Amino acid sequence: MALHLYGTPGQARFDFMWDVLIRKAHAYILLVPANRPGEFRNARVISNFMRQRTKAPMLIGFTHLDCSGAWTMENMAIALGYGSPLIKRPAMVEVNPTESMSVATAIMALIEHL
Amino acid sequence: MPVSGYLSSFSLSEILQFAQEGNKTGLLTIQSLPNSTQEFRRYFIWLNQGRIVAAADRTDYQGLSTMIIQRKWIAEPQLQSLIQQCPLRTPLGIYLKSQNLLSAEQMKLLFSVQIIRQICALFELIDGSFQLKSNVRMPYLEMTGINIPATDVTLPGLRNLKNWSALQEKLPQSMSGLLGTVQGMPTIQLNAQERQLWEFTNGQMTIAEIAKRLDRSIEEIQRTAFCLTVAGLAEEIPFIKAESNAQDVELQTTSPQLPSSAFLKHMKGFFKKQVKSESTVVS
Repeated sequence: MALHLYGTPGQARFDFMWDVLIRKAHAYILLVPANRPGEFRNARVISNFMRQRTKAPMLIGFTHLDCSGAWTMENMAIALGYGSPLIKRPAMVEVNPTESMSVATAIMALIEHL
Repeated sequence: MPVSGYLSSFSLSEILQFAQEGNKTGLLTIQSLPNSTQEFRRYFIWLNQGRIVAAADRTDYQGLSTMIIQRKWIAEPQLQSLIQQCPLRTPLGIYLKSQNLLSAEQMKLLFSVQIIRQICALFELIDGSFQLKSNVRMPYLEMTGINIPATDVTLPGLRNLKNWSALQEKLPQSMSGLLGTVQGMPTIQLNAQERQLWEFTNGQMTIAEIAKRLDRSIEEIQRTAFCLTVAGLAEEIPFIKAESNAQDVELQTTSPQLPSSAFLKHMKGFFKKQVKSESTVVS
C-alpha cells in the first residue's frame, strides 16, 4: 500500500503547484491558520480555485487554534465563504501539522469523505 | 467568544462581509490604535442578523437624540420626556414616527447621517483594532428602525477611499478572474465602473485582460474587483496557466477515480494503528 501526500504553499507565487498537484489528487486538505485572519481571504481564493478545478473531496484543516487571537472554526468557516446555508460546507477539522497523530486523524477524516 | 483583530490584517470591508454572511448579531467596536498618528477614534456599530441597525461614536445612547435636537426637529425637554415613554424594545425612531413627530424622510436622513456617513468615514482608518461581540443589548435609543445589509455601506465607503495602501495586499491578483455570485443585476446600486466590471464576472477573463478591454489600469480594475468581492457580489478565481490535455479537462468536470474501498479500508486501519500507537507512547 502506498499513499502519496504532497504539500504546497498557499502564496500566489506557488499557484502553478496548486494546479499540478490538484490534477490527480483524490482528495485534499486546505490548511488555514486560525490566528492569522489576514490569510483568510487568500484561503477563500484558493478554495474557490480548487472548487472550480476539481470535484475531489476537500477537508479544511484549521491550525493554530490554541494560539492567541485564534478564531473559532465556525467563524473561520464564514470568513472562508461557507456562511450561507445554500453553500455546501466541507468537512472541517482541527489539525496540528507538527504532530503526526493529529495529521493521521485529519487524514482519516478525509478518507471518510471519499 | 468575541471575534477580534486588527484592520491591517482583516479590513473593515472584510469584517462587514463576515458579519453579513454569518448573519451576525452584536456590537462591532472599531478603534484607532493608541499610538497611531491618526486622531484616536472609537466607533460602535450594532448588527442584527447581519444587518446594521445603528452606529455611534458614543455609548450613552444619546447619539440619535442629539442629532434630532441639533436639527431642531423636537425640543430637548420634549424629547427627553418622549424617551421616558418609549416602549421597551422599540427603536426610538419608530416610536417618534408613530407619534407623528418624525416623517419618513427625516428618518431616512437621520439613518443616512448616522450609518452611511459615519461608517464610510471609518474606511479611511489606516489601522485600528476591531472586536465583534455577540450577546449585547440592542441600543433601541440609537435606532431609527431602519436597517441595511452590512455590505451595503461597503461600496460607498470604498468608492470614496483615497488611500488604498492598507488594502494593497488584499486586491485580487491581475491573473485572477471574477465569478458573479448573484443572478441577474445586483439589487445594490452600482456605479458606472462597477457596472462595467460586473459584465465580466463570468470567470472568462483575467483582471489584466479586462483592464485592457476597458482601457483602464490594472490597479483600477483590481480595486473595483475588490469592491465587488467584499460586497459579496463576486468571488476571485485564480487563472492558472498550465499545460493541459484531454485527461486534465476531464478531471476538471468529474470526480477523480477513487481508490478501491478495500484500499481505503486498509489505509484507514493503518492510520488508526498509528494514532493508537502514538497515544500509547504519549501516555
